[in-house]
This record gives sequence, C-alpha cells and structure tokens, in this order.
Amino acid sequence: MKVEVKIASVDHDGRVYLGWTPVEVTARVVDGPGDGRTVAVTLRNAGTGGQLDISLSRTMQGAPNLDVDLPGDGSPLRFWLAGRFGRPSAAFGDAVLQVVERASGTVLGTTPAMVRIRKDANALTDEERDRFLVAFGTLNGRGTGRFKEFRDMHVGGRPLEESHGNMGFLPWHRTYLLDLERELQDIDPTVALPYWRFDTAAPRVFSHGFMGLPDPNGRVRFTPGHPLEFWTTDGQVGIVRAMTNFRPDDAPSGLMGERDTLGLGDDYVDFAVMEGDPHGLAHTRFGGPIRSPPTAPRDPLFFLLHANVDRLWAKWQWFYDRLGDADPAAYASGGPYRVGHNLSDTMWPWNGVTTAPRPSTAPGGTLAASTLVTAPGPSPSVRAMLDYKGAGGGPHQGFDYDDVPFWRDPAVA
Amino acid sequence: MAPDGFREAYADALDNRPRERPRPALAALARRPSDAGGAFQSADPAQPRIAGAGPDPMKQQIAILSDATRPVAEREEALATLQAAAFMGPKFNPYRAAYRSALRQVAIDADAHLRAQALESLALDKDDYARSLLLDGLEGRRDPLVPKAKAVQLLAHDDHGAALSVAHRVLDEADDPQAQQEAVRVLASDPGSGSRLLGLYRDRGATAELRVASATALHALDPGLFEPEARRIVEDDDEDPDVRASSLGALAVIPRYASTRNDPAFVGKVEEIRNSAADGPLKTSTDRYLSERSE
Repeated sequence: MKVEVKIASVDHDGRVYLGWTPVEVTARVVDGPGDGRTVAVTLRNAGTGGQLDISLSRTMQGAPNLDVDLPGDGSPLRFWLAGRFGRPSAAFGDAVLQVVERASGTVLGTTPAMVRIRKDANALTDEERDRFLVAFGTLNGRGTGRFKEFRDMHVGGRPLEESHGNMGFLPWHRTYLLDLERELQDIDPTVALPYWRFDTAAPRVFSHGFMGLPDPNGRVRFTPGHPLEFWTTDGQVGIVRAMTNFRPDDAPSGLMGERDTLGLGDDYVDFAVMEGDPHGLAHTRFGGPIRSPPTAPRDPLFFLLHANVDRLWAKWQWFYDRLGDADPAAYASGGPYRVGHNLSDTMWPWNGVTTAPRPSTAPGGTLAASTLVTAPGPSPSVRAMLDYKGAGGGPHQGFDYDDVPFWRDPAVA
Repeated sequence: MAPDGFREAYADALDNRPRERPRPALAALARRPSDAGGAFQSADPAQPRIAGAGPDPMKQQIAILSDATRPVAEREEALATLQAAAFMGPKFNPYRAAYRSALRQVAIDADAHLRAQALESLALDKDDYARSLLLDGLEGRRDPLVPKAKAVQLLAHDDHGAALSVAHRVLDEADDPQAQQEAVRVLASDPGSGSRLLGLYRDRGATAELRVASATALHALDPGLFEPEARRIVEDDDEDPDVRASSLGALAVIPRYASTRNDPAFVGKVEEIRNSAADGPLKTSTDRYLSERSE
C-alpha cells in the first residue's frame, strides 16, 4: 500500500515548488484496504530546510502535521499545502511532505519540494547566489534574443510612458520582473529573483563574487569566471556602475527607508509617490547606465533594485490589506489615466498593442507562462497584478517575498 | 514567526519613531498629474517649502545644479534629484530642455566629479555636444574634461562611430592600461576588429585584464572566433589561470558554447584541471562547467 500525492504546483519535470500561498493537494491510497475502510495517516512536514504547513482549508494558519483518514477505496482527500512563513528553502528537496501510517509508522509516500521565495540578495547562500547568476548569465547570452527583448521594453520615448510617471508604474514593473523571473526559471527552476534592499548595507551584493565592484572609471570587475563577466547589452560589453554615494559596506544615503516608505500613507495614490523617492534616488546612487531611465536595464542590478521596489509595494499591500481591486485605496481611484494605467487596461508590451498612443513595436510577446500557475495570464491587466497572492480566493502568480506573508481576505470562505 | 506575530512586530516598528518625508521636489513631481501642463501643482502641504528660487522645486533643482557658486555637494544632490525625477517619464518632460541645458553647462564645470557625471548623463543620451567635448579632449583640441579611459568609455555610447577610430588609436598608443581596456570593449561593435581582438586575447605579454576584456569583446563580435581560442586557452596548462578561468566561465554559462560539452576530449581536459587545480576561480569554473553538463 502507498499514498499518491498530487500537488497543483509542479514544473516541467513534475517537481514541486511552493510559496507562502496555500496550494491545493490531493492524497489517495493506492492498493488500499478497499471500500468502506479508511487508512489513518499523518501528513507530515519532514524537511530539514524549507518548512511546510498543512491544513484542510486555504488558510495562513496551517500546521506541520495533520492527522487525516484516507478513504480505503482510493478516493482522494483534498487539503492545502504552503511554505511556512519565514522558513524558505535553500535548494530543491530540502522541503519534504511525508505521509505516514499512524498505526505502524510506515512511510507511505514522500514528496520532495522547494519553498521558493524571493529573498534579500545580501542574505543568499553562495549556492543560491551562483544559481541565480548562472541563470542570469545564460539568459543574457550575447545580449541578443530574449534578453534583448527585456532591454527593448524599457527604453525612452513611448515605452517609458507605458511604465513610468503614472499610476501603473508599480503593476507594470511587477509584470516585467515576473516575466524575467519566469525566463530565469525556465533555465533553472530553483531560481527566484532576489532583491537589493537599498536602505541597508549590502556588502555581499557589492562584491566581486556577486554584482561586482567598480574600478576608478566605474567599470565593474568580477572574480575571473564569474557568470556575468561576459555580460553584453546594446552591443556593448561589460557593466559600468560607479558607486557615487556609498561604499560597499554602507547603505546608500539620502533616500527613504522602508519604514518611511510604508508610512507614506494607506492610500495607493500616496504610496505611489515612492516612484521618486526612494525608487528614483536608488537609481541615482550610482554612476553609469542604471542612473538613466532609457538605459537602466543594461545593468543586471536594475532587476534586483526593482525587486525591492516591488517588495515594498507587496509589503504595503499586506500591511494595509490593499490587495482587492474593489478597494478604492488599493489602486488609484481617480482618472481616467493614460491608457495602460487604468485598472482595466492591459499592459504593453504583453498585450501586443502597437497603435498610438502605444509604442509602435511590442517586444517580447506575451508574458512568459509558468507550469505552476495560470495567473496572471499572457496579457495581464493592471487589475490582475494587484492580488498576486490570490488572497481574495483567486489564483496566485507563483512568487512571494521572504518578509511578506500570505494572508487571506477574511471575507473569503 | 507566525504571520500574526510578524504583523504586530512590524506595526510596532512603523509607529515607534519620527517619520522622514520623501524629498520634497520628488514628492511634488510624483503628485503632479501626468497630463498636466502649465502651472505647477501644489506640493503636499506637509512638506517644507524650499527657500530660494520660486515655487517650482524642479526648476529650483536645475538652478542649484547650474550655480557654480553653490557647494559641490549641494549641486550633486540636485543632479541626483533631477535624475531621479527623470524616472517619472512624462511628468519630467516640461523640464527636460532646461535640464539638458544645465547638464551641458556643467559638462565643463570646474569640479571634475560633477562634470564627469554631467558628461555621462549627456553621453548616455547620445548628446552631440558631449560627444564633441569628449573628442576634443582626446584629440588635443582642448584640455580633457575626464580621464582618457572615461572618455573612451563614454564615447562608446555614441552610435555615430566616433568611438571606433579613437579606440584603435588608444590601443596603438598603449600608454594607458585602463584606457586600453575600455578601447577593446568599443571594438565589440567593429566588424573589422576580429583579428585585432583575437590577437590581444592571445597575447601572453598583455595583462590578464586586457586579455579578458578583449575576450568579452570578441565573444560579442564573433563567437566563432572566440570559441576555439577560449578552448585552446583552457587546455593550455601554461596559460594565465585567470584568463583560463574567465574563458571557461564563458563556455560554461553562455548557451552558444554548449556544444563544447559534446567533445569528450575537451570535457576530459576540464575534468583533469578540476582534479589538479587548487581552490580558486579556475577550479570554480571547472566545477560550474562540469555541473551544467551533468544536469
């Protein structure tokens, strides 16, 4: 007798990846005692790295063990599985779901998994860091192909109007990062985009082994053989990023910290002021392309910077319960705004629209798909990017931050 | 920590100290409706008014930047504020012309750091005036405004091709190692420079930094030329270990070179290097190359 577990969150190879959002699981007995009888089992969190929480409902209050009775005729039992907040994985397989027969202690099923979470880049293990860097260097290739499309999405002129200076700044960049992250995960599914927390010192980030350190001309130097050593964009090789405002073992000065950013207010219109400070100022703590909007994504640090911008938004959404688009404070309730920035608007370039006032080309096509989740879909709207966790009962988008927990809208059963 | 406890602790942290406000000029611009033209909209009344040149904080930042009598630190922060504001796209549009004029003025400022930042901003925007200043400095028509290496680096942003002839000349002069490293990177966009880059990559008399810079340019320009040389360097035990590490690192990560793993002799050599190399960049590169193969 064994127990077959099916988890609705697997990659191309059938490996399980989880975040903080509970996902639906079924367990059923195979070669069991038959109709009318049950098998008493414990669903158990058994990993030594990432930890799991189990519950019979979609809740943030799961537990590491759950006693259930499985139908002996093989009918499935449904339950919910999530990564335990604060206990992410460092590698695939360090999180494990076991099914143990209570009477005998026999392990009837074992499912390895990964609690895959976007983490503080300065806190990554060397292995996590290197997996991310290899995936990123691979995606960059020769700066052509898919990476070039990401580059071409964030250039001057009309593309910049799609993504900056208006209410859709945050949802557009959330989508942009998700698109890139999914491409990285297509290369290595254990990778999650880390964030550079720009209000604290990050000496591990600004080192030759991670994002590099500049020479007197701002030319970034890496350890020989580093995965980003051959970085190429716009036909130019290498990265230029002078540290004009801070040293590697300090935090940048002159921009708002997290606490004050969340303190901007509990209405989206007030919070959106963060586009200037701290977001814009974080860019200008350096010399080089990252300092200018049309050229900023030439620097791989851009994506870690924006992951922190998105994390701050995600944290604001959690703290003030602002995930639901029906809440007028969750997004800009004024308007109408320029197309692409209203709740119901789809976003360029993923919508493929190239008629004015949209840009005349739409690089990259639709949003990269995920084998784990269906949301937000190939051409997401602004609205779709608010409830990335599925807290309102809908599908989640397959990413989480290490310090932003899942929570469920109390109104949702 | 359980989510509820985390929320309580976080709420305590948010409430316990006096709050900083965002930089007033940026906050004011952020609150400005994107489609507004004409008169400046009022800033958040909680923000302090900036003493000085009128009610528009962005115009005041431009004035501070342009004022050579102000402390350099103040002007640098004004520049940073303006560059941060530029990230707000259409909201910054009313100020772009004045901002560009200020940058051009600062590009010849007495302060070296400030003018370097201004020149870089202009060069990234492919500004003609900045290009002419950089070329004049490199070709002796005026005192250089930035070091030679920086001038070559900034000219590379220009797509008029001015950088290519400069790059070749800098390499010929061979009197400034940093400038040479910038110059080889410029050649990544010159179809006629494959042989020169290959020669520099091979040159054991050159520094490892110059050889690797040449390698990166050659990879971007002509991967068909880069790959066999990278393999040869990796296989040569007498080669510089850092150049070997960098070469193997590229072969390990970049998809274009994945086919090297179909050569048993090359893979065998990499395994041999792994078994004999001391811990360090070369061994790390061998581990990475071989681990990618085993997946």
